[in-house]
Amino acid sequence: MNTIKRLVSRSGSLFAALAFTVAVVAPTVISSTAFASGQFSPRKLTMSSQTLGTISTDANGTAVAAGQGGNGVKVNNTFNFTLGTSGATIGSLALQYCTTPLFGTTCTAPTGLNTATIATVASQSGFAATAPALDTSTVANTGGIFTTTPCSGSSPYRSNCILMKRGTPTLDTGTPAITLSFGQGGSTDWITNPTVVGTFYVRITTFSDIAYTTVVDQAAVAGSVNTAIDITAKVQEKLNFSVAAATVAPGATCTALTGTGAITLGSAGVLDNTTAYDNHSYFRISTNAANGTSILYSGDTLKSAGGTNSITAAGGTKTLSAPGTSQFGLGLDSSDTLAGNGYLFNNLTAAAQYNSAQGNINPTIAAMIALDTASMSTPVQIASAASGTTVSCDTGSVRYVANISTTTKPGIYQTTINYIAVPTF
Amino acid sequence: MQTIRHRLASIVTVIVMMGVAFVVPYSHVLAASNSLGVNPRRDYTIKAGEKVSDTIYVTNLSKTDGLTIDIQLVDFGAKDETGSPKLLLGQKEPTRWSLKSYLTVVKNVKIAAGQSTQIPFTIAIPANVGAGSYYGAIKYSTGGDGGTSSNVSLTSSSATLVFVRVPGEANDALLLKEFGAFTPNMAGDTGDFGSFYGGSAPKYLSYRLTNTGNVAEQPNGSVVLKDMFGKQTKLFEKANPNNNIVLIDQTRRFDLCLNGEKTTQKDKETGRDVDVSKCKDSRLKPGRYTAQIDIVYGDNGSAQHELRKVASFWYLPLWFIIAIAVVLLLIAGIVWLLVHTIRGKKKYRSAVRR
Repeated sequence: MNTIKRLVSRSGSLFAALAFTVAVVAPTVISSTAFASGQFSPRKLTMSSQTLGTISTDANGTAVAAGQGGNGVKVNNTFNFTLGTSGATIGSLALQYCTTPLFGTTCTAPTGLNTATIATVASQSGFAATAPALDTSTVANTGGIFTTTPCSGSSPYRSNCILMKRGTPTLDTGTPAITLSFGQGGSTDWITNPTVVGTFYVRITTFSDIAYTTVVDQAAVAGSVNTAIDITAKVQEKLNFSVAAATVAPGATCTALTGTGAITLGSAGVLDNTTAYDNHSYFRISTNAANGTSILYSGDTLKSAGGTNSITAAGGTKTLSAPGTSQFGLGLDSSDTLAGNGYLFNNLTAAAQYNSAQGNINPTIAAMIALDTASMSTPVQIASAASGTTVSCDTGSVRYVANISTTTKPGIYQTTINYIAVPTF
Repeated sequence: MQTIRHRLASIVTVIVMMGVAFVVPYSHVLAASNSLGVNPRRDYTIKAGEKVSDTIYVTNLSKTDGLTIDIQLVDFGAKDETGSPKLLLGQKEPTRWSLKSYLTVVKNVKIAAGQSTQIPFTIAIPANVGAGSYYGAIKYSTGGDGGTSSNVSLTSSSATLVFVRVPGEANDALLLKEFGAFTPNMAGDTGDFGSFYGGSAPKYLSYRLTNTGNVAEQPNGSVVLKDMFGKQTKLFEKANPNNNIVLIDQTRRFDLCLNGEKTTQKDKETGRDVDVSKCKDSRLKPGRYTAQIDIVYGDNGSAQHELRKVASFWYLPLWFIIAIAVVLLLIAGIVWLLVHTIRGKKKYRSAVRR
């Protein structure tokens, strides 16, 4: 009796722990994704035209023949793929045009695409014995894979699907290379391309039955459509960049910086070893390029004529300004805002080694500077805008700090710093 | 006597000239523009044996100073796993994807203040060039006007990235190195993939592709995230929404924000409208998540390739673990109470029987 009681009391705790474990683990097991046993490889899709599905004339308004490059309304699609599973029995085949290649997820039809007008198979090869025929009768929004990934349009739902099936499933020896071509002639037996620029995918699935249920192989191919008409009034991508020793208000048009590119360091141009000296220059950038931007610099440290003597470069890792030592470096000064005319990064981000040049340089030191002389052969990034970011109008304030030691040789020390604005890819 | 006078005159002349050399200030160069606007990128498909001629639109943004541009062809590669180019200014050996041998452009151009010009160039691909990608940068450098009286002279440059695809049977080869939940560092250039998050939920799903072929690839594909009940939490129809490129020999990381926001804000200082993108908290519920990626790459009419991977991660914040522990304790407590009550009743009945 006591044993039974102990068992009852302990089983309650065990049950609670088990219940939690099952609740967490079981859905994981149940929902795990299983891919089809094979993929088609190699495979490709050849489209007779990558023009938008609204275009069938050239820039002069002359009609382009169906199946030709400039006609996106009447397009031929040819699929080439090698069956993935050797010696598979194939009963049916589905080509589903979707906005994603993810099997098992909803197949959203690309906007404007239409395969419902396909009435014949233009050509095919590779299948053994009796090849699959075009299937225009199976209702493709329920049953088989269409239960989870139904095709679009009205019954039998062929707006974004092309189906083929055999009378009875047939063995295809080995892994034959298959060619299927759709869109061949007449006024309607063509595919219409999507009417929105971008990429779409065709999910190709073979089944061992004729009810599109038991998957044998699955793979996706990608197609894309682009704008075709040559527009004379283009808005081109543009990258505007300017550098100067002084700044001006950006205004509504992102006014470019102009004026001298000369920076003087020191007191009346003379450096003293007991204190640090600084000055600023500015760069301004705007771009409508969608892929992002990078600002680089390329330059050497301060050197005397002939390069005999130099002031030590601060190095590639930012470091505190150090009066009394030979040091030259630069960095972005986020405090130099000048009421909107100076530093203003809305879209750019300062690079890690060049983002701390604000703060005191004498006597309590906070400003950190860097200068990588390797930048002369490989320019170094000082700021960037991430991919997908346009830059409406950003201004950078670059602070230069120079220190000399008691043994720094006298002379006129100079350098040239080149700022480079490049698009990212 | 005349000889002495001549000599004296020469000596005086030299002395005067020496004095002038110390006194006369350094000459400074006339003001020149350091401001330019360029087309940042060009893409072409050119068959071997053919050529393309085009122009780049360059603007002198200065309204007052003329612009003199030196034009240089520069090879570039990938700086890191982002899309920032690494300009190879000091490299003498061309890269194997160099466009230098095929692109011809003028060496310098002068543009009057406020004016624009079209700079012509030609890309001619020899017939024996193999299929693949070739790219380089056209770099425009201004002269600057630092003069000789300054310590630091400034010059500005800009660049146009030019990509050429020579069609044919090229070596398309991308490897899907990593995929899953990701936390970038502050700079965004590196970070960590994770499978367990106890603090805050991950904000990104990311994947890394390595290009071992000879084609600069623009992969396409989709990513789906499902919770532990198989319910779709997030679908990224475009796994590469900006059509970014994986350069030859590059490993590139693509970040997909689970809860991104794009807004237009007014800048306080200038009053300008500014587009701002933010990646906010993903607001995932605690549990196990599974992400699936499907990447397709390859040109129209060329062999295509597909990359697939499934990754999972746990999000179990401390408050959730505490809540589960409390629930378990409650259940255990209830069970104990039940057992204790049953025992108590049985003792009472036994006592009553006696």
